[in-house]
Amino acid sequence: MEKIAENLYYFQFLPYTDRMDYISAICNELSYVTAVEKLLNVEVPEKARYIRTIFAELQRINSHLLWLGTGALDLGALTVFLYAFREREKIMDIIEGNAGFRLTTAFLRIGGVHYDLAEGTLDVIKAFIRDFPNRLKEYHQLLTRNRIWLRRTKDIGVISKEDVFNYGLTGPVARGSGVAYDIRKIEPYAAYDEVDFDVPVGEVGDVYDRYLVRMEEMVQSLRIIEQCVAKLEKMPKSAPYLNKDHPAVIPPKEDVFMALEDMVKSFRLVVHGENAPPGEVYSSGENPRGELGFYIFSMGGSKPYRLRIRSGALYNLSIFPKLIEGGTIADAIALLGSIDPVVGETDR
Amino acid sequence: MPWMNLATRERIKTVFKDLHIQADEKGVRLEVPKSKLLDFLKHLKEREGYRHFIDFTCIDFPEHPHRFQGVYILYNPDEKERVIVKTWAEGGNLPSLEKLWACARWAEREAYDMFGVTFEGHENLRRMFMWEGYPYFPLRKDFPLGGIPEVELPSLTEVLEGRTEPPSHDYEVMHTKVATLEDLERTEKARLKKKGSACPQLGTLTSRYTRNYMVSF
Repeated sequence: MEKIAENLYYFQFLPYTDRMDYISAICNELSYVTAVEKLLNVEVPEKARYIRTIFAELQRINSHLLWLGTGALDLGALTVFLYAFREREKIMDIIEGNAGFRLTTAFLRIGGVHYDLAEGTLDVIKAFIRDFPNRLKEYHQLLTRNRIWLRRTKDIGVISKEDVFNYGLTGPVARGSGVAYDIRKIEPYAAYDEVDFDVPVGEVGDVYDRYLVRMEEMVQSLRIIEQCVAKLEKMPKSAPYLNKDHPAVIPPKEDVFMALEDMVKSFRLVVHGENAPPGEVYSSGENPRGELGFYIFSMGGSKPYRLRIRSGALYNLSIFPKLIEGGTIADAIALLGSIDPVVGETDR
Repeated sequence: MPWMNLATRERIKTVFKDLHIQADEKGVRLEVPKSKLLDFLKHLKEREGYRHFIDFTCIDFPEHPHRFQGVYILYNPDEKERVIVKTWAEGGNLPSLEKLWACARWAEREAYDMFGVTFEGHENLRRMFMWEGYPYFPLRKDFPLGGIPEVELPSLTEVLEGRTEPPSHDYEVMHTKVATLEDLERTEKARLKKKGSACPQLGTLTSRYTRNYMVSF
C-alpha cells in the first residue's frame, strides 16, 4: 500500500486507507486526513469536525462490538455474538444513510466531509444513544461476572508497563496495563479537545482488564456522541462542511457543476494534484485497534515521496509470541481475541 | 503537538556534538551519524525518558550516496513528547535495536523485507511479508509498481485453446512473480522449524487464527 501511495495524489489515496482496518474505516480515514491536512495546512470547518468525531466514535463502538462478538465467540459465548451484531446493524444503518456504504466508506475528504448530514440523522443517533446503554447492561450481565468468563480471562496474558514501552503497544492493549496513552487527549484532532470524556485505564493488564477497558470505552464514546449531537443541533443548517477556500481542497459536486471557479479548481486538482510543500509530518489517530500513524515525507509536488503507515495492530501482535510461552492453547485464543488484530492493518 | 521541547534539545546538543536538529511546528527531527546511533538512542531511552517505541521505517533516496535513511519515532510517556530520529544507513546496514526495544525486531524485519537493509545483531533477519526466496525488495524506488514481469501466466483461453496470433484478448502474458505452492510450503517449513521446538502442537492447532499468526512471525 505504501508503494501505491507513492504514485497517487493525496486525495486519490484516501479510499485505500479505509480498507486497511476495514472494521472501523472512518477512524483510518480520519488519521490520514489529519496527517495530510497538517502537511498542507488546511483548516477544517467546525461542522465537519463534529461530524467526523461522531462518525469516528460510532465506528469505534462498531469495532468494539465486533471484538466483543468474535472474542466471546472464540471463547464459547455464542449469544453475545448475535446480540453484538444486532447493534452493529443499527450503527451501520446510520452510517449508510450518511455515507452510502456500510463498511468501507470514503466519507471524509481533505478539508471536511463528503456529504452533509442527511435529514433526520441526529434523531436516529439520539434514539440510538437512548437505547444502547441498556444493551451494554445486557452484555455486562452476560459476561462480566460470569464464572466461565472470569476463569478464562483473569490473569491470562498479563502485560506489564515496561512491556508496553518495549513492544510499542498502543490502544486498549496499553491502556489495560495502566499506561494512559490516548492520542485523543495528547494530540487532539477533530473536535476531541472540545468534548469531555474520560479514558479508562486498567490496573493488572490481563485479558479481563482489556475487556473492561473496551466496554468502558463504548460508554465514553456514547458520551462524546451525545455532546457532539447537542453541538450540531445548535449549528445553523447551512454551515460549511468542507473548507472550499483552501487551494488544495476539491469543492463539492453541486458547486463544481454550478460555479465556474469551483469547476476550474476541481479540474486543476483532479488532473494535476495538490502542490504539497516539502517537509515531513507524522500524525496519528486513535484507532480502536491502537495508534494508526501516518508519516508523510514529501519533496514538494503532489505525490508523497514516502508514506509510512504505522499500524497499531502489527505492533500489538508482536507481544503475542512472548505471552503464550508456556501457556495453553485455550489461553492463546483468549489472548489473540483480546489483542484484537485485523490482518488488513497488520499487512497493509 | 507535543514534540521535544527546547530545553531537552539544548541538553542533548551539549552531549552529542554532531547532531543536526530541525524543529518547526510540524515536528522535531534529529539526525545522527550511524556510528553514534545506538548510543544516542540508548541515551534518549534511559536518560531522557523516550521509552515508548512508536515506529521504525526506511526511506529510499536513490541519488544519495548512502541510499537508505532510517527513521525512528519515539515517545516520552512522562512528558508526552515525540521525536523523530533519522540516520543514514552507510553501507546498507544499520545496527539492530533488539536489545533496546523488543518490537524493533519486527520493524527491522519488515524493513529488510521491503528495502533490503540488513541489520547487525538481528537474530532472525528473514523475509516477513514476502515468501522465502523472493529475490527483490518491493519498496525500493527502482521496483515498478506492478512488479517485474517474469513469469509466464497464460490466461484460461490460451490454456484451453492455445495461443493465437493476434492474441485472443488484451492480455499480457508475462506477469510478476506469484507465490507457488512450493514457495509457500518452503516458507512455512522454514518458519515453523525455528519455533517448532517451543510449540510442538503447531501442526494440529484447530484455531485458524492462531495458526496463521504463528506462521507469519
